[in-house]
Order: sequence, then structure tokens, then C-alpha cells
Amino acid sequence: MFKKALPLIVVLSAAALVLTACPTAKGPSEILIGINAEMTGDIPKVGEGTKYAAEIAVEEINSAGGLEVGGKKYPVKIIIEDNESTAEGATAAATKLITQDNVLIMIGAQASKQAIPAGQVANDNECPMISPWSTNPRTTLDRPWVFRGCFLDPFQGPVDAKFAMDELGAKKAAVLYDVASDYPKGLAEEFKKAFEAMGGQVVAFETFTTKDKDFSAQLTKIKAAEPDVLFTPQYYDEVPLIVKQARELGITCPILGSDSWGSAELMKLCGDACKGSFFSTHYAAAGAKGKTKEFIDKYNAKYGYVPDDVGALTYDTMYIAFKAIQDCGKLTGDLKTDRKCVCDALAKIKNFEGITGRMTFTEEGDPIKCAVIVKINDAGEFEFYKSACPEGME
Amino acid sequence: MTLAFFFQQLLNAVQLGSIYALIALGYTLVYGVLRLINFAHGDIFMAGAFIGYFVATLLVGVGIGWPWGFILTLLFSMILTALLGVGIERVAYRPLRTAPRLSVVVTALGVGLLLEHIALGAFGASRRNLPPLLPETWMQSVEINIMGEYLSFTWLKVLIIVISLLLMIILQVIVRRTKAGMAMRAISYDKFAVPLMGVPMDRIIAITFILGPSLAAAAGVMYATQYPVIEPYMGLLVGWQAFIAAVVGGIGDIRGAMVGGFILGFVQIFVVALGQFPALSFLSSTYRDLVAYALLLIILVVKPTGIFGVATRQKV
Amino acid sequence: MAQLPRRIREFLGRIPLLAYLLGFLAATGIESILGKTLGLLIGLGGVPAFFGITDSLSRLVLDKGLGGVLLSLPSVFIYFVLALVYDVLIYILPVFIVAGLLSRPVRWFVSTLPEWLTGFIHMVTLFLSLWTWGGLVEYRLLVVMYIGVNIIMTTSLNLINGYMGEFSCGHAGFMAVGAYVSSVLTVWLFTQDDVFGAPVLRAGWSVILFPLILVVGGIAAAIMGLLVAFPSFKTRGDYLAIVTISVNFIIKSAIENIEKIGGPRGFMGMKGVLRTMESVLNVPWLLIWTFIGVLVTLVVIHNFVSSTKGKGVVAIREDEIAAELMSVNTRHTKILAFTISSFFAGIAGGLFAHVLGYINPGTFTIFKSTESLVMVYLGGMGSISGSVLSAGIFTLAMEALRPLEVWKKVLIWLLLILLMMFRREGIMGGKELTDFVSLERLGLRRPVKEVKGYAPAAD
Repeated sequence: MFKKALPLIVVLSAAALVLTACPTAKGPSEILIGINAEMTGDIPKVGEGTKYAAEIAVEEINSAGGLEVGGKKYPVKIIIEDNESTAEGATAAATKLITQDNVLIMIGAQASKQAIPAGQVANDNECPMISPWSTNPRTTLDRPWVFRGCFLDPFQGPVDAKFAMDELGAKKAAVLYDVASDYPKGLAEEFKKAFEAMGGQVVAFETFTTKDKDFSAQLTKIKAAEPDVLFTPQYYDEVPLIVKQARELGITCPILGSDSWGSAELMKLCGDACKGSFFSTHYAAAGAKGKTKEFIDKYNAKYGYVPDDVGALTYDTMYIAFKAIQDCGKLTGDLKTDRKCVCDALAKIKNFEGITGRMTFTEEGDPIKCAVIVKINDAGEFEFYKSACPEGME
Repeated sequence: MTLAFFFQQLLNAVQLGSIYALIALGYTLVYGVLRLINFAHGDIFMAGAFIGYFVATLLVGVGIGWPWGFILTLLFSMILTALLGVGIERVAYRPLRTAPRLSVVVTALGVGLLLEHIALGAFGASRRNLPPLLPETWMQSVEINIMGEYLSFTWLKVLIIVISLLLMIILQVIVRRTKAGMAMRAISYDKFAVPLMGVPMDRIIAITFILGPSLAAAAGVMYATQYPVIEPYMGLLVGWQAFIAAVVGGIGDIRGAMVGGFILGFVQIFVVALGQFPALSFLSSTYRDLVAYALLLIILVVKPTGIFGVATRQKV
Repeated sequence: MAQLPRRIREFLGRIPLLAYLLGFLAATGIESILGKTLGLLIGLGGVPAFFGITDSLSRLVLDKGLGGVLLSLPSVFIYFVLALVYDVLIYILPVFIVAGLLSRPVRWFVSTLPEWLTGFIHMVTLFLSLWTWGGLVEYRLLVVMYIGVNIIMTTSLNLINGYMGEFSCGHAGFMAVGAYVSSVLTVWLFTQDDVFGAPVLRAGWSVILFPLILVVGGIAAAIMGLLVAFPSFKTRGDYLAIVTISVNFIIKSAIENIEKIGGPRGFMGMKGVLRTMESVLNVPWLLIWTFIGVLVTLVVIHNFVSSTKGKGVVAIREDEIAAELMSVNTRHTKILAFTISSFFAGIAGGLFAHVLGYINPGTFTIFKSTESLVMVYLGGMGSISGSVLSAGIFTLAMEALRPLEVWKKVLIWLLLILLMMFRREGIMGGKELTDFVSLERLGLRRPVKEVKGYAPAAD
């Protein structure tokens, strides 16, 4: 047996010498983009929206022959990994995409719980990452390689508080939020801070825990506090429960929400109860024009529903990634150089015209962009009501 | 705390508790006969809601509305879910009847997780809600004046409580007054001697798996009318909570499951509600889970076999 | 010719474990030099992460209905065959060739050394091969560490659920305590942090104190374990299950309410600690400690269940009253079992937190506990090697089947149910690997010389 094996070892080692000496091919043949999405677990709809929007963006680019970088067209390929809506799943998915699949740039994860650890992996491995939807400041904080596609809680909270006070004339506000989820909690606290700073009073600050379906105890307390407005920065699949139960209990004040309301499913689940409510978001689907309308129509035609905010943000993020790769000028095929080049290009992006508004990245990798307040009209559409921009932007 | 506030919370608690109780009954029934914690029960509840959704969509589609639409949805969903339950027992649990108890438990966990992901894979991630089965007015709030303050309720809540109580009474009758029920009780006393008396084990177990899942299906449909979001993971937390309710009441005991369900509902609602008192302001809703589960822990330390549970005598 | 398979089997049977380990080490060495080129050459596009399973499955087209799946099957198959070629060339051939060549020298070498040294050499070889194998693709390294954490979780839960016969379903709660305590300590002591400010100690300390801090996390978890241990005097079976679930919920809810450590937003900064440690000495600290953690867990739990006290644990499972009569102090034994079990869950938590670099209370829910439960029963109750195997297989399957998307979980749970049907006592069914292969055979223990009139007891 050994005598037979010996020549094999010799052949193998000879082959090794020859093969390692072989030069690698010049430049990549395609551009790989990794998508780290919540396909299963708590929020599968977010993962679905991410996947669909990314597929539309890639299809658009590839039907035009690919992405043109430095005079050469490259086909774009996306690799979608499920992060199971857990921190360890997001870490594993990010590590796989970055170190195994060797993607040029990673899009996602979406929710902060996943985006924070995924951002850690991206930053440690020096691969650019954009989270379209994560609003927690820590996702990008001290991480030069991590960017995001949406505004942050400390911006959105005051926008909502100001709207409640100025437009709805509220003096007393009630807040109901999920204490075990960082997005609603962050926003609820920012809202409270801003509302109280403006001289308002938060008369009820009630919480529940993720996956709760019954809010009657909290809402009964809120009703007893007689607020002028109820602010509930919850996800679109919890909002119908909250709003319906609030109305059942005889709470009649206006209800105000945040960008997580922005899903076509909201009205399907909520029906008439949500009409007349307001929420702050990235874009208004009803009466959208230009590129935004094009995207909505395309998505609607292909998948049968109006895209959620997460879809729109992912679509924008994809194009930001495309632009950064183009701005890079040339792909060398050496991953380390190309990733660095894309990351630098991302940081330099100014006034990018996306379907969710115009954006410029700050040093932290957070975009400066406007928010819009949307009113749910009697037809159940998300109608533009007012826009609120950070200082220095019109 | 005013009187209206108290009664409002009481109503909330009773309604939440009645749903917990219905699901808890399913755990307890199966446990009583098979000594099996059927961890798939929460997901059978989910399946019941999904089946209810498809039946209701079909019925509303052909123009059958209130009241027959609702009754038929409830009935069909109960029947189909019972079939599912019997099928699961036949395929997954029966081959393991002589296996160590905990291998069956882990199979049950696996069946539950399998149901969830089949639902996710087959029906997609979209949330659904039942088409309108009840008249609009049933969902709108009605107010009663209690000493100057208003108590609001919907007829839907009343309906849920009434149907739950009705189902519990029917179950009680089946278990207390029929031969099958007698056999079920007998098996829970002694599962070795009873088959020797000529009681057909397989049939009794099948009946148990008809009763439990059909109650879960009824709970699922009512849950979906009150909380209109149907999704693959909806049974997860509710299932665990109902399991807790069943055990706190004394698992294997039918009264125990009902009482346990209501206790859990009351604890969850009143931990939040009592925070209204300045002296109890530490009981804010933030601490709800902390306080609620600490209370359950204390109940079990004081009564180690649950409220109705009889301390099992160990043969020495 | 018919003799050949038997002779090969006999030959392979004589190869000591260390030779196989050295073979694997050689294979990983060859892979890190040749892997990429060979992968490119035979059309795999690089080094396959897990023997090509993931990469072949990713050829499956899932979103075009059944037709898409069927049409893509041939390409999956072709890719799988290519990956097999790779596996044979890179792993199987070198492992067997090297093991065969080294069989004799290693057997001689092992027989000259004291047993503790042989054990140590085995471990070092295993560690080195894992390091080279994982070092090639960082993703592998992460999965190896996940497996390590899961082995600790599963083995420690097996002590309660398998050996003691209780039904604990709140193991993730103890993991959370260990994770938070050790992370807060390391971040406070060794990194610049917004909450805790400048590092308290000099960087050099981090290397020394890291394992101690893990132990502190474990002790904190063990103290929480008392929360379960005391009710367990009176409460048994399913009622104790509720106690453990409640403790899981209580711990999670308590962490959510402590703003200082981030509440539901979670806690991070542990990667900074690792960087500090690496700045002192650049070795894969986390892999080392995970590896040592697994070893310590296995040794301690194995020794515990083989000790007199540990036999008491099994006695409680069989019959608590009889055990009490046979002078087993059931209270002490229960306290000991619960604290040991939750101690190691805490250690697993500490390692897990540093592997991820970010933890939040939502990670340690009852669903995480369920995962550990499944691994315990999958491996077989009361079998340490079963727990190790099932943690490895389960974790690897979860990663390797990724391309199946949603259907991955359908497949995994279906397999679990089928396995339970056909092998109802789990993979190992209460036996240990050493029941099948003796330690002498593996070269881990020197063969006992037969003395006349004395037969060595079967192990």
C-alpha cells in the first residue's frame, strides 16, 4: 500500500509546486454582492422585502449588460444569506459572505439586533457594509467600514414629537412600546425626551414585550391618563393590534407612528381602524413620482404588493453600492484593494438621489436625509402630509 | 384605581385568560392520557388559525357571512385541525409509545418546529388576517357608565368568553359523562391496568387528539378575530404560556388547566394595572414579565404540583 | 481478493488515534497550501467551506418552483462529485496515507510516554489541526467556536436532563448570566468604553485574567442555578420544567431592565477586549479558550458522573426515594448538579459573548434553550460523547444547509423526528464512544499486561 501511495505523494507535491506558481486571472469576472437578510425568525417579511428589492435592482443592472466600472461591464451577482433574525445567525452569515464567498460589499443585516454584530464582522474583516434599515447609532459608530441607508432614532424621535405638538396640538402624550426590542425603545425614549423638552407632558409611558398580542392592560391605563396623542413606534404587524384594541377601549385621540409602520400589509391587517393616523417615514408611496413610482410599480407587478419601506431602502442601498463601485473606477481583482476602494468611494458619496430622498453620508457613515410625515387617508393610502429635514437641508 | 378601571382590567384579564385556558386544556388532556407534554400544541394552534383563515376566505368568497360563516369556520377549522392532530399522533407519537418519555417530548418539539417552518415555506412571510366574519358593530366599542367613568367593551370579547366557557362545559361533559371520557380518566390513573380491562387504548388516545387540537383550533380562530395577525410563529409564545398555565393549574387536571389559564391572564394584566397605585409604581409594565414569572415561581414553591395537582405518591 | 477488505480493516483498526490526528493535521496543512489552487483547478471556485456540501447545495434553484429544483439537480450533483474529488484528494488520501505511515512509530512513541503526556499530545495535535483548518477560511473558525460553545451547553444540560432525569428548559438563562457578567467585566477592565470609561488594568493583565473572568461569569451563573436547585427539592418533573422556564424569563426580563448594560439594546465591546489580548500576544485566544473550555467541561462532567456523588445523580434519576434510603443526600446532590450545570452554561455564555462581540437579552430566550434541549436528546441522554457528536453535527448542519433557505429548517426538524423514530434513544443511546472502542485500542491508555489469574475489568 505504501509503495503505491508513494508515487501519488510525489505527484501531488509536484502538482502543488506547479499550481502555486500559476498566476491568477486578472480582474474579477463578476461583481459579488452579499445580502444578509432576516429570511426566517421573528421578521421574515423584512427578509422577503430585502430579497425582492435587491433582485429588482440586480435585474435592472444586468439587463443593461451589467455594471460599468472603468469602461468594462461586469455582471452583478447577489448571494443571499438568512440570518434567522438572531445575532449569532447574522454573525455567521456575515462571516460566510465576507470570508468564504468573498463578496465585494455586504448589504444588511436589517434590524439593529442583527446589524450591530454583522457590522462588527464587516469592520473587523475590512469589508464595506451598508445596513439599509438599522436605526441604532451603534451599528455604524466607530466603524469606518459600516454605513446605513436610513435616518437614526435621535433624528426621527424629535421629528415625531414636534409634529405631535405643532400639528396635532398635543400637550399630553402617551407612549406604548416594546421594551424588549431596541428600535421601538430607542425611538420611544427619544420622543419622550424631545416632547418634554418642548414643554409637553408624557402622561403614560407603557411597555410590553416582543410577541405580546394583548395590550388591553396598558391601553386601559393609557385611556385613564387621557392623552392628546398616542405615540407607538411599533412594527407594522403589531400596529393593527394596538390601534384596534385602543379604539375598542374607547381611546379616540390621534395615533402617531414611526417608519416601521410603512408596509402595505399594515392596511390589509388594520382595515379602517388605522385610517386617519400619522407616521413618520422615508417616502410616501401614494402619489409617488418618477423613479420612486417606477420602482413601486415594478415591485407591485412582480410580487403583487406595494413594497415596504425596507424594500425601498434596500433598493436605494443597492444603487448606492453600485455607485460606489463605479466611483471606484477600476476593479483589480484583489479583494482587499477593491473593498478599500469601494469603502472610500461610499464615504465620498454626496447628494445621492435615491427613491427615498436625497442623501449624503456623514463621517460616521450615517446619511443625512429628510423624513416625511404620512397620513393614512380614507382610501387607506399613505399620503404625503409634511416633510421634516435636518438643519442645513431643504 | 376607580371601579370602572378595575372592571375594565377584569374584563381584559378574563378574555385573555379564557384563550390561555382553551389552549392549556389541550396540553392537559394529552398529558393526562399519555404523560406527554405535547410541545407541538402551540403550533397546532397556529395551524388551526391558518386553516380557519383558508376556510373563512372560501366561505366569504362564496358569500356566506354572519352568522353561518363564523360558525362554519369554527367548526371546519376544528374538524380539520383535529385530523391534523390525529395524524401527528399516528405518524410521529405512536411509534414512540414505548420509548422513554423524553424522546417523545423532543419529537413533539421537532413536530412543532416542523409545522412552523412548513407554514413559513408554504404560505410565505406575509401576515394574514381573517376576512370579516362578524358584523362590524360587534367589533366597535360599547361603553357602560360606572359611577361617572366609562367601561368599554366589544361584543367580540363577550363572544370569545362565552364560546370559551361553552367549549369548556362541553369538554367537561364529555370527560365526566361519556364512556370515552371515563376511559380517559381511568387511563390517567393507571395506564397499565386499564387496557387489560378491555379499554381500547388507541381509540381513546385518538379521541384525546381530537379533543385537544379542536379546542386549540377554536382558540386559534377566536384569537385571530381578536388579534388579527396570523403568522407562522404565532403559536410559539402563546404555546409556552399555555403550557405554563396548564402546569400551574396542575397538569393532567382539567379544572387545573382552566384555572391556570385564568390565573396567568390575571397575573399578566394586573401586574401592569396595579402600577396605577403610587405605592405600587414599581410594578410598571416594564417589569411585567419579571414579576409575573416570579409569582409563578412562588406558586410552584408553595404548591409543588400546581394548584389542583395531587402529589403523586411514589411507590417505594 | 476477498481477504483484502478484512485485511485493510484490520490494518486500519490498528492505527492509533494520534496517527489519524496527525494525518488530519497533514491534510489541513496540504489544504492551506494547495486547497485554493486545487479548488480553482477542478472548478469549485475556491476552498469549499464544509467539504463542498454548502457549495453544491447553493447550486439549487429554489425560487422557480419544483421544476426549478429538479432542473438544477444535475448541476448540484456535478458540483457534489467535484467536491468529492476535492475531499478525497485533500482530506481522505492524506489522512489515511499519513496515518498508515505513522501507525507503527506512533504506537511505539505512545507506549514510551506516560498517559497524561499522551493525552496532552493528542489535544495539542487536535488543536493545531483545527486551527490550520479554520485559519484558512475565517467562517470555519467561527463555526468551530460555535460548535465548542454548543458542546459545553449540551454537555452541561445533559447532566441535568440526561443523568439526573429532570427536565430543565431554561438553560439559556444561565448562559445569559455568564455572558453578561464576563463581558461587563472584561470590557470594564480592558477597554475604552462609553459606559465604563478608560481601561482599569493594563493590557498585559487581560491575557492572564480572561480565563478567570470566564470562571467568575460561570460562578455568577451557578449562583443563579440555585434559583432552580432550591425549588427542585420539592418540585419535580414538569413542574420543575416550569421553574426553569420562569427563571429563563426572569433573567431575560431583568437584563432588559438594567439600562447600564444596554437593556434590550444589548452590550458590546468584547471585540476590543480580544484586540487588547492580541496586542499582548498574537495568538487565536478565543479558539484556545474555547478549546480548553470544552476540554475542562468534558473532563469535569465525566469525572463528576463517575464519582460517588455523581452516581448519586443517576440514583436520583432512577428512584429518588430509594436513593435517599441508600444514603444519597439528595439535596446536596441536586444543588451540586444544578450549580455545576449552570456554571458551565455560564462559561459557554462568556465564550459565546466574546465570539459574537455583541450580546442582547433577546439572544437568550427560551428558543435558545430549546436548541440545547434538542441537541441533548439528539445525542442521547446520559452520554457525553453523544452530546459532543450531536452538538457538532447539529451546528454543522445548520451552517452547511444554509443554501436551502427556509427549507433548511423543515429538513432539519424532519430529520430530527425521523431519527427519534428509528433511533429513539438518540445517536449514542446512553452509551459512550469508549463502549465501542477501547482507550487501549486508540492508544490513549497503555494496554494492561495480563497477569495470570487476573482478567482486567471491562471499562
